[in-house]
Amino acid sequence: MLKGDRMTLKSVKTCVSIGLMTLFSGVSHAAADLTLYVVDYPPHIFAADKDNVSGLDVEVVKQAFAVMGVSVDTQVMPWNRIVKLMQHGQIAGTIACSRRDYREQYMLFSDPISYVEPIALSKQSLEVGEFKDLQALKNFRVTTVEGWGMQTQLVQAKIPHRTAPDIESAIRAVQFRDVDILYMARYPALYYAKQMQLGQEVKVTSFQQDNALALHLCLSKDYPGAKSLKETFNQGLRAIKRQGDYNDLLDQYLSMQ
Amino acid sequence: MKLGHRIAYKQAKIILLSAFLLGGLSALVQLSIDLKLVRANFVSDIERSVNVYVPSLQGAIYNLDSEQVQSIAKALTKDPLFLSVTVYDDFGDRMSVMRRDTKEQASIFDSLGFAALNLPEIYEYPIEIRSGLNHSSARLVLQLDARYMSHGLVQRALTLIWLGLISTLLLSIVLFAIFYRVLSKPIQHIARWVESLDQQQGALVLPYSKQDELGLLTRNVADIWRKKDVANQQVRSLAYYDPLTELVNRRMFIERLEATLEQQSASQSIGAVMYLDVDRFKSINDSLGHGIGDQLLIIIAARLRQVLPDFVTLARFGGDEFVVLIPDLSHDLELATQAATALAAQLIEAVAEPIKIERNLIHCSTSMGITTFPQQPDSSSDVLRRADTALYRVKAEGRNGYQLYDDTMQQQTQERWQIEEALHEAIAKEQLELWWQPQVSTRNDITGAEVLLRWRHPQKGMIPPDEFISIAEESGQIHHIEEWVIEASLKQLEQWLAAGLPATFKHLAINISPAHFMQADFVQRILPIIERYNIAGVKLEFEITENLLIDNFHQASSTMATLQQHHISFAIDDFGTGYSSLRYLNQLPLNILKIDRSFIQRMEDSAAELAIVDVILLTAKKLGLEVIAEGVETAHQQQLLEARGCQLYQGFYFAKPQHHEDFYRLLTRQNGRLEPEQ
Repeated sequence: MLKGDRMTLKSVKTCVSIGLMTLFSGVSHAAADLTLYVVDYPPHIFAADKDNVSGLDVEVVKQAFAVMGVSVDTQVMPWNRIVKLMQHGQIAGTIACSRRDYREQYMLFSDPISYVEPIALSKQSLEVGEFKDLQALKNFRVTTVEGWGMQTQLVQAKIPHRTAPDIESAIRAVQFRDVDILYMARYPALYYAKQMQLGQEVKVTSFQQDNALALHLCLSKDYPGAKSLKETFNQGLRAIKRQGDYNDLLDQYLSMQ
Repeated sequence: MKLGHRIAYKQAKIILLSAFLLGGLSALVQLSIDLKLVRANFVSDIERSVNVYVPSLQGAIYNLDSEQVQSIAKALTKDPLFLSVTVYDDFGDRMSVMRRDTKEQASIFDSLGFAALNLPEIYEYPIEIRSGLNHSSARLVLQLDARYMSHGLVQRALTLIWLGLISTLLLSIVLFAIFYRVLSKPIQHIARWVESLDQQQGALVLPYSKQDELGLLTRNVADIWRKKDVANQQVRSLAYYDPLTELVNRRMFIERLEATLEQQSASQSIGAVMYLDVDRFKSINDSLGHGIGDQLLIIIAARLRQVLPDFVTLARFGGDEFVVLIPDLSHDLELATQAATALAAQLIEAVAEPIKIERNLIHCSTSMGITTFPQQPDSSSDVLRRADTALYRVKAEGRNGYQLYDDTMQQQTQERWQIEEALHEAIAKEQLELWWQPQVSTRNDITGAEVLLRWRHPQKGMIPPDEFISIAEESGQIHHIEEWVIEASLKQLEQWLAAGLPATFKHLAINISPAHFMQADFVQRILPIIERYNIAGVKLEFEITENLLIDNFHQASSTMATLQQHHISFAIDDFGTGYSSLRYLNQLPLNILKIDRSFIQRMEDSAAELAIVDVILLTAKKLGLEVIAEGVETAHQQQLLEARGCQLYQGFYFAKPQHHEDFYRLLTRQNGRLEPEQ
């Protein structure tokens, strides 16, 4: 990035920051310009420890707003409550929710900050070829985490599968048991494989059919300045993408290198 | 007695009402206490149940976890206290409605019981949600199960009521039985006993003998009843018996007489009634005192009773009057009459026996009227009237005897009654007249006059005094008549004195009836009359009979002394025909003796009569009394008397009684001198 660009961006960030601070001074969290509410959704959001919320999406949002001069705080709250508070316009919004038709009524969706893309995790040594769609899994021994949305998809597609109590167990099952494929979303699969330091032992295979689900910063339509906030965020997101900060974060959480 | 009037019934009613009232109040108190306890327990249970679920509910609501909220609500509805549970989140949206399925509906009693608990049917609890954003609260709304909450209470209340009713009823029955046995039944027995007291004969048998109030009541009633019996006997005795002689009285006698008359109308037998009284009983009573008189009556009653057969009723009608009822003498009138008169003679004889009472020996006689019965038509009053009429006849004829009633007596009685009635009007109609008979001295001077009363009856003509004076005495008219005589005489004399009277005329004699003279107020009534007239120079002289003096010596003496102080002198009329006691001649303030005409008329032919005249003249001379000879009808009689010192005469020889105009002419014709009629 050029110095002049940096200066221009800095000027813009300063202006936006001042404007947002002025705009949200009455409603934002006491310690930050903006408070967003989250639930635990690894690796997008780690909120098991309420005082130490982190995660890919949280980092993306904070950095996007940060480049726009808006400081963001996060609070952990049950999902239903977050949704209802947004319906009533009592909170600004939440990080990482997918777009649904019914949510359109009371939510504004930012540009996608991450995606939930079904993948098949397998041993490096297993030759799986290409997966056209979910039916391709019928030829493999499949597992997934009990109760997660991925299992629902398998059930709906009538794909025989086993379940594991958590994702780590499921990865171990692929690694050490007679399970060929873990049907899982890309980010959690990669995140936990990385955490388990299985960079060379497993691989991830996408499905040809694009069925990735985008996750957005969701803002309450009734929350004051929501639209402006959305634009600010989108602007900041584009900035960090441009600046490579976004990819850095992806690597930080997902790269097995 | 009607059931509603019985004490036992009233007691039962009062006991039942009181027991129900007290039982009801007791049940109400118990119910009230139970209500408070139950209410407090329910409130506590509700709070406890709610508090158990509130923390989890707070979390579920915070998470807006409808399933969990639903689950908690369901769990709450398991609690029988809550019929339905509704949960609203802190946004006011309803998260859960849970209602327990129940087929049991609350009865009217349950509803009443729940209302009595005074608990709200809907309980609403605020549930604080700490979201960090606002302070609104969620709400837990509980609908209480009225049937469950009140059911036990209602059951207990109903049990309490039923048990109360049954126990009250049993208590009432037990108390009623006790009261009935202890109180009502004895009272009923006592009441029936009191009711039947009238029919009980002999000694009273008490129906209740316990030593309590009823026993006391029973004994008191028995005492009162015994006293009543005694009093009844006394009343009967007083009503039917004479307390002095213990003979039956007039009432009982009449009842028996009427009963006898009724029986005899069928039996045709003849009975008799004797009406008798004791001659001169009043004199005996007055002179010897009532105590002696009463004893005399008792003895006479006993003697009469002794003579009479048992079937004869002897009654005392009062005073000295005794009446005898002989119910059955004979079927033949003549035989019955003979038997009655024979019995009467025995009775007279029994009474005539001298009676010794204390120191007094009393000689009594009796007069008796007898009648037989029945005489158709007849009644008790008819029978008694006939006997009384016969008695009157005996008395009129001198007492001491008996008379059998005959119809002429009734006729005479009738005539007497007619005279008595006519006498009432005689003065007012000026039918009474004064006739004057001169009293003459040896020199044929008219020294005075005796006033004689005549009654000029419009139908019967001139009636002499001896035919109506006795009737006037008995009917109580004598004082009117004699007062009129005195007043008319004095008035006439005053007129003559004013017109001029011969100097020889010195006294005016007026006859005074014993019945009149012995009246207590005689002096008080007479003196004002005398004082109204001025008859100076003429002495007023009252002629009284000697029998009067004998019968009422003390009173007569006192009256005479009083009147003598007012210049009234006294002459003894008909002297010598009565008792002629020398004692009263000496002790009484007498002035004149009038020798009875019977001596004068017989003295020419009888030396004994002449001797009596001599004695009278001598006695008078010795006592300093004047003597007037009555009934002098011949010159020989006058000469005999004059020869024996009698200086005053009265009789037809000198002049008959004359009307006042004639007498005044006679008096003034020769200035008081009178030549005897030849």
